[in-house]
Amino acid sequence: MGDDKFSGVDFNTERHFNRIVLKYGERIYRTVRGMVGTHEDADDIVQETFLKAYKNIDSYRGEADIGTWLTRIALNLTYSRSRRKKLFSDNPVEDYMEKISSDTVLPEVAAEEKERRMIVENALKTLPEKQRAVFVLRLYEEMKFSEIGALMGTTESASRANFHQAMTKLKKFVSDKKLK
Amino acid sequence: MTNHSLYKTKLNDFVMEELPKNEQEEIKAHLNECSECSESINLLKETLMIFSAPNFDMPQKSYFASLAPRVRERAEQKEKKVSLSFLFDNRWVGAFASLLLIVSSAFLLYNLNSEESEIIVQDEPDYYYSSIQSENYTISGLSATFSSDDWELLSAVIDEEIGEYLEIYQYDSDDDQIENLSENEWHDFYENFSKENIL
Repeated sequence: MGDDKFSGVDFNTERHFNRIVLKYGERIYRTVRGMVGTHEDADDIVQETFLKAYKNIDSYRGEADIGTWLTRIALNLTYSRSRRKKLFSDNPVEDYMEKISSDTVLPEVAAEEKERRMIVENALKTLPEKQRAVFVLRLYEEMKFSEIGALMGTTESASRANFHQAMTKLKKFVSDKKLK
Repeated sequence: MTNHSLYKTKLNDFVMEELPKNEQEEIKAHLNECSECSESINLLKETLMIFSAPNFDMPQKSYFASLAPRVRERAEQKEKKVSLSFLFDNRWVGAFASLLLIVSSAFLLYNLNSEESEIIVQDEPDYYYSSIQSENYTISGLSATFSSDDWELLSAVIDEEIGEYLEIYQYDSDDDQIENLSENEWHDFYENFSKENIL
């Protein structure tokens, strides 16, 4: 994390732009995909992230590394999208229990992994967006809480608290469902 | 707070190995004695095991290789759309344009139907300074554009042979002919425009 400052890189040259997209594309995709349910939504937000960065490179002041800046753009776009499309549920975890038990029966092939993924996706959907963002950044990107706090414009302790709240909810989710 | 209560609040950090080494060891020892904390840790580990791996496959390398060109293409498409979508996609701009159209139409109708309209700036005390506010105002076959309250920002194309003003347009500092008009000439222009040529 935070390995370069992206100073003096010109987005307007194709070579530099391609380099930035190649270097940070996977990271941005993984974060966004962890936040939204489908590849299509993630793809759209990832493209929009780089487009926005491309257009607003003048506002990038080099205070954070470029990856952090891009992730911040991506999260803001994700939040914005989620408010329009309701990607995140307002329902508490408990309300979701009945729904998940009535979901379509999975095919026999790779059933365990499919079930795990379905559970993860559906459980993560029940988290408020900030808790989910912290959870994704901590677990998928292995970011430190201090980095997450800086990225999200909060403090390290706030990020830590968000993560713990998320963990508590997910633990209860697992406990209630007796997931194995 | 007992040690148990204290440790209980730190189990999340313990399972994430976020605690200082000595605290990690303390809690580890506590787990051997406390079944409640031990169960809680097992559940936390299970939760982490389920949730720490992403619930999706990453796209193939080709997806990321094609990302930059697709973003560029998207940028170009957006640029093309901007001019057309400006009026249609932005509800506020659309509303403002509609409002402007209504006001302009009302103003036009009012002026066409009232006697005062025959002399566009008839009551203007400071001759070529007008309070007219309209856009693309057309009267008697002549087209005039008023984009400002100030007549000094307007200029005219004059057909010298027939002595008529063919078009009024915004003042252009590059237009020597208009720029060089003296105050008296502007006065004449105003008088002719409002009382003779237009009517």
